[in-house]
Amino acid sequence: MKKIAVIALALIVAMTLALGACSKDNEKEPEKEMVVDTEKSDTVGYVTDDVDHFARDPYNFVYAYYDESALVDATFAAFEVTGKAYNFSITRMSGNESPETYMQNLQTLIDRGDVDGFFLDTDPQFQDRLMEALDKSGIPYMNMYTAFFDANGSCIRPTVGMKQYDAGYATGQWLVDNYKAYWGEDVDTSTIGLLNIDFSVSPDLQARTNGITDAFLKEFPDNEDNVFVVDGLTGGTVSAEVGYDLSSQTVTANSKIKKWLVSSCLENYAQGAARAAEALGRDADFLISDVGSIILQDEWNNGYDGAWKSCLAISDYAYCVPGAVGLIAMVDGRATPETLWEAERDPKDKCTIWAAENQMVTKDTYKEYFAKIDSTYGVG
Amino acid sequence: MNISRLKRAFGSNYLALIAVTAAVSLLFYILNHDFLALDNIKNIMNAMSFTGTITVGMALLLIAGEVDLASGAEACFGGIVCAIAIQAGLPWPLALVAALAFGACCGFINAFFVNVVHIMGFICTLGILGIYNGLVSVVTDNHPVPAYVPSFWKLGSATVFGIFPLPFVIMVVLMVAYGLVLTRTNFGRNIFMIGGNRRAARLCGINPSRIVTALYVNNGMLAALAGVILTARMHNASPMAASTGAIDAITAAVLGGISFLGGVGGMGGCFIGILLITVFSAGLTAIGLPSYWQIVAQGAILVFALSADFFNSKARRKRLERDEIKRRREFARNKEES
Repeated sequence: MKKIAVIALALIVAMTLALGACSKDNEKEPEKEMVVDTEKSDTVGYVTDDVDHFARDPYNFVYAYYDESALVDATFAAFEVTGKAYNFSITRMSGNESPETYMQNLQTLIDRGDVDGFFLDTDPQFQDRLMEALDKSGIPYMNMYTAFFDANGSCIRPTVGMKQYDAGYATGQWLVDNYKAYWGEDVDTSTIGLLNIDFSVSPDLQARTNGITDAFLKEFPDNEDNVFVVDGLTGGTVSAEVGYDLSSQTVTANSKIKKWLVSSCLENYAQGAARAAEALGRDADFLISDVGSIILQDEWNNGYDGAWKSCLAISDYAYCVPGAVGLIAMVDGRATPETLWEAERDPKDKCTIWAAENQMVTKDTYKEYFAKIDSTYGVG
Repeated sequence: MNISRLKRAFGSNYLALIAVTAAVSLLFYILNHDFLALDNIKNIMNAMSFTGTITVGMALLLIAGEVDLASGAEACFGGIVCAIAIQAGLPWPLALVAALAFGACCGFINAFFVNVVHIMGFICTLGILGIYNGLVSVVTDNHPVPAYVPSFWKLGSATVFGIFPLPFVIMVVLMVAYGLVLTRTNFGRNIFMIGGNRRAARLCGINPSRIVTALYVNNGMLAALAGVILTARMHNASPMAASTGAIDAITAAVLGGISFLGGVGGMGGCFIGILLITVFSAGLTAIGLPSYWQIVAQGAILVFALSADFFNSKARRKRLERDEIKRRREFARNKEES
């Protein structure tokens, strides 16, 4: 009994001390004042900024992402190169797919006191907690890929991303613009179907899927029954294996469709669809495109010439350089989240989503696109 | 007609499962006439082969009262080792051998923790799963590892007699071979004994540790083989491949009549279990069921499998107790009479 009482007392003391420590967070330094140079506000945060980044000490930025992926690795690698050009160091912080871990690790870095800015690549579901912690700290941050929206659908923090619906629409549009080149002029359009591989839990990816479907239905308004939207969520992971299973199951269960336009919000699924087309011996009946270019580039570099003919290419530098330059402008005090990139802003948004430069590419044009991006941003 | 044999047959798990599979297939056929078309059947055979290959190894472990939750990661790693070996210039048959050897090592590591350190298989393989998942990311930098050798791809996509996908044939051959081992060899009988009562098996002179080690090593190799076949099919080894491999294999095995508590089951049931799961999954996609309901259905089938296993085990225990009481009464009566 005595033992239990001692343990209980110790726990109470520990809790009291912990609560006391938490309350000390309120006594923080006042938020940094942002100074906006209105004369240069039309170039502030742009690559054409007239700023000598090497006239200051290097900034220390952190790339805080939610979970590991090939995209995260590619983004980090691009940040490392960008850092050399724009005088900042970059370290990475993972959330291990847990909001709690993400917040804990972020708070640890904030409390460390030597981080000048954050690139956030995270799940918007806990955006309120995230913004509260970061706004309290006064450390500027830039969203990568995923924007934060308020209840009215207005973007509330500067983001480098993509107009997801437009990206999907462009992918679908490429398919409807080019199918005749592969299938001939006299293909029976009533037998053309759309296989659209979705990942429904992500609003961004869902927007891409919607764009793809709309582009198809605009060209083939009578083919609504030929639209098959399958969800990668049923397979559990974002992998080519899931794309393969969904594609092969859908195609073999719908023999009325003779020609398949296949698109995907994610390149992994498109790769699976390409493999399914080969396995079914129907390369000639498939035309595949997707949003994202890392995997297809690899395939082209290794001589691939199957049904997967194009993708929406977005260079990592098209994201990282504008993101870096925009964050530097905020850290310098030359811009605030509300004034950054005002000229690019959608009227409904409070802060700007910078649309990363992208382009539909094929095997013949992808090298040219990436060379152009490298020269535009002076990196790579 | 032998009534008791028929009664036994209708009461058997296998027949009930076959009936359920047939009923489900018929339902999907009514809703979509393409469901039983040759192309779709080939597709189902192909889809069965990856999980089926992992299920073979998992089934043996489950019968012995063990489990390997890291099977999916071992499959993924096996595929990656094979792809790296191919990239390094090794001919693909040698790369396959390297992957199998790697899988065997993974199995050996599991066996070490189970037999020497005496950690429960469920717990230790759960921890090892995390280690392998992390190592996969470290080794591959989270990028797929290409395996661009057209002759290697045939392992994942060739057909036998123009109908049966090669991976499906490999799975069936493995099931038949391991089925014979289970039913026709001392080793197989020892697996059942260990699963039924490990202490009693030891007292009978069986070395459970040695057998469990062999089963974990075997499971690692089969998982690696499944990973290699998947790599051949996809033309690369993805660090995200096979993430649900272990759960799918356990579901198929338990659905096929293998008890999670050990000592019961066979390869025939495994085949039907994996067939049912694959038919179910393919059918849900074929009829266009909304994805969230598909996930509910897939979860429900696992719960159904585990519940059926629980009730079967309970019934079996009651039957054994009844038989034992009956035997003891007869013995006592005979003793009195004599």
